[in-house]
Amino acid sequence: MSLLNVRDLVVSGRDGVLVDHVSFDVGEGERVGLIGASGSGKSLTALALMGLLPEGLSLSGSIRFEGSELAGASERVLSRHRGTDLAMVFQEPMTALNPAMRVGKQVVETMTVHRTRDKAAARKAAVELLDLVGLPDPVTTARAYPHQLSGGQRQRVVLAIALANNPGLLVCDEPTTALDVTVQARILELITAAVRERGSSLLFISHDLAVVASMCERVLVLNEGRIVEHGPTAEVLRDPRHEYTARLLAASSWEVS
Amino acid sequence: MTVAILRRTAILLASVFAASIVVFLFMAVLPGDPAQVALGVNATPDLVERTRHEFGLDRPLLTQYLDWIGGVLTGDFGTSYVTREAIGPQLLDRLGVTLWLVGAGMLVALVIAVPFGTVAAVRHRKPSGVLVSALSQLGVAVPAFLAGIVLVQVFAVRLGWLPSGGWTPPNEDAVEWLRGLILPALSLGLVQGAVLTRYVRSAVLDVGREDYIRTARSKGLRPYPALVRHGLRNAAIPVVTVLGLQLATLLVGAVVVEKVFVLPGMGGMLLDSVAARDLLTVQGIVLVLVVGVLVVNFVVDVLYAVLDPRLRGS
Amino acid sequence: MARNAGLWAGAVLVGLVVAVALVSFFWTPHDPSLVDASVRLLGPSGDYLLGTDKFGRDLASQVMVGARTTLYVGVVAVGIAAVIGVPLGVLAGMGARWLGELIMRVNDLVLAFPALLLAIMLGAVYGASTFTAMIAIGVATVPSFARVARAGTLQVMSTEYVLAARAGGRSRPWIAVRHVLPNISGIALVQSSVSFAIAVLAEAALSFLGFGTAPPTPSWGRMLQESQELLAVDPRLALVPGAAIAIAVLGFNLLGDGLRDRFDPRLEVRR
Repeated sequence: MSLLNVRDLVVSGRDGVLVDHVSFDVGEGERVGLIGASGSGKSLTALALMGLLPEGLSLSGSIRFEGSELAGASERVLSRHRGTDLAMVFQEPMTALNPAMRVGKQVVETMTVHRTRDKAAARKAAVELLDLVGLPDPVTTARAYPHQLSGGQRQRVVLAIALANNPGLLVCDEPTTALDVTVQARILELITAAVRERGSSLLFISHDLAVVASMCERVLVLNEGRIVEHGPTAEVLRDPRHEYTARLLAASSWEVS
Repeated sequence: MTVAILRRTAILLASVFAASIVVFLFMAVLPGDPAQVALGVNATPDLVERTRHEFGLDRPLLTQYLDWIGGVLTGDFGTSYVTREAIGPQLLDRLGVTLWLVGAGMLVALVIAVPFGTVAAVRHRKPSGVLVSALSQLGVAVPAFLAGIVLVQVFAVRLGWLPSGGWTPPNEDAVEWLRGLILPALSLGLVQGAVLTRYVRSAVLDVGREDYIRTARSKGLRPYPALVRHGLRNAAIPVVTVLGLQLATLLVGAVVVEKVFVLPGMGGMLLDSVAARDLLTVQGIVLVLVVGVLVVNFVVDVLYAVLDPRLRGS
Repeated sequence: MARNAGLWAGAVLVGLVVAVALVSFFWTPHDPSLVDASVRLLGPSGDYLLGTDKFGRDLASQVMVGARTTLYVGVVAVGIAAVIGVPLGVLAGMGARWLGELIMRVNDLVLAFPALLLAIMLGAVYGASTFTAMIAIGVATVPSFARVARAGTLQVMSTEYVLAARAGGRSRPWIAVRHVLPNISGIALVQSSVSFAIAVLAEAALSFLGFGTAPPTPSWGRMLQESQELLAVDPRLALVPGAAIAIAVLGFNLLGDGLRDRFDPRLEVRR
């Protein structure tokens, strides 16, 4: 049995269906890419998994994590899974952190809220995590406020938050899109290393085929809310069956080697 | 942070200085002179002249200003043209009453606004949230003195629970003092509470839509704790601004409420001195009220820096 | 939907006040200032719709003419505030840095003189009247207009079409008239409506204190003041003008909120 089973996931808003009967699985330790243009429903799919859809959107279908149903589950149940079983790295590091709270505390909170560590241990672990994600001088950084850090540094903090409780599944929603090209590669390496080390599964969302190709074993292509193609990354990219995938490929910087 | 506070302090001092000039000139450059105004139209020119000399009104404006402001800095607001008594001590006495009233009013407003505003925001799509919003909208439309009149009618006249007016100093009889403060504070605070509720609501709504609340929830915090732990401080930033403006409104609103409840505060003193054409007293009271507003603004600016680390400078 | 409902409710309430004021020019049930001891303190009836006060004056007629006073004070005060405040705000947003800084500092200083205080100062020196009330409320409202106009101007000045116009060598006055003013007219309108509500409250408070409209011109605030001594006998005397004030303030506030949802560019971005 896979770690995550999504069946007939439908997300709809006032203006119609935004994610249309999406089904896929993510195996234990597997790294899966979800690609598509903006507005294809990738981010909504990720938020639906987390149970964090924006107000006014509704969800149907089935989302099973280790067999337990998340779709339609109560906030109480969902909040137990968030941050432990499922963790997420968001696209916008500039706004993802609380501007009025020291970043160390924001990492610590992830552990204390689930009581995975007591306060002192969590503080120590937070500094180690900040070190792990490559932040210089982690002890000082832990005392910094988000505005004192660069975009790349903030995204490292967000990653540290997501990794704090060794999540079963790490969901990354375009984690490097808002960053400088020079920083992108480093963050991607960190993510790959982190999930490998922990044996976590990865759902990596991107519009960039090159990035997905370098990180994921399997890929799902999403277009207008539907999965139009899926398969092992190399296969899909070498021989796209769907015209939309071909167009994405043509637009991408990725070169078939 | 220290630099920011020093800067704000400099601005405060400059503003107080500018305000004192404005107030002084306003009263000095009036048609007719204060002695004439104070003595009335029937005074003989000779008497007016003597009074002018007695109070130093025949000196150059600059001398008069420096003399006045110099006195004010040492707590001496001059001698009333009408009662010929020192203005300072009475002013201080009255200021105490007004500050109690404003403080209690603010407390009432906060006690109403923070919980109701938060509820209205968190439940903004539910009937209870909409109801709170509608009530606050209605509360804003009620003048404070009307609220006072109605409160007196209900709780003092009909039910007889609380006094309809008057003032007992707290050191004389604390219970009576409190009983006398309740209705004035309510009439001042209810309306401001309604105003503030709307700001708290929109601040909490805005903060609730922020990405970092979503991040907090992605860690496993449930919606309400996420809002309280990550939202309140951020929501407090815009609310504090409004609070500052409101304190200014309350300070002036106290003038009206003091009239309704016959309280011996600065408002009553202001109205009495205007009626008595006692311009130097008016000048002193206006200065104190204006400086009060400026000081409140200063405190708000400093609070800002405390609440928002981005403003502290690195 | 609900927002639109607020806009409409506000428009209806404001429309009601305006209509009543307009009608009062041509017709009122009775002469609002006619004193008649034989009809003192009557309850509502067919002849006296809202009853009479302690002088036998018709309450309904007083409220109708009082609406006129309220609107008159509001229009003049908000007019003064907008005519002075908007250009100052635009200047502060477009002009040199030091000029903008100076204008905003002066603005903050004026903010320290609330309308009620200004009116009492003016009243102390010149004698209280509707005129001093209007001037005081108007001057005290200038900072709000300057503030929103400056914020709006800064926003417009950073848009690409203004940058393009500046690159194309357009003069500042041309940009101000062609781009800035049309784009900030929406928020100025919102501010007008909100300020109007505040002006109505300020006028009522001033008349209540005896620093506003003088007798015999009917005013809602003074009606309230006159009702105070007879409240135990007849609360209606306070409730009628109180309700009139509340309706006007609620109307302008709802209208302002509704308009803001339409015009506020910040909300548009957020959908």
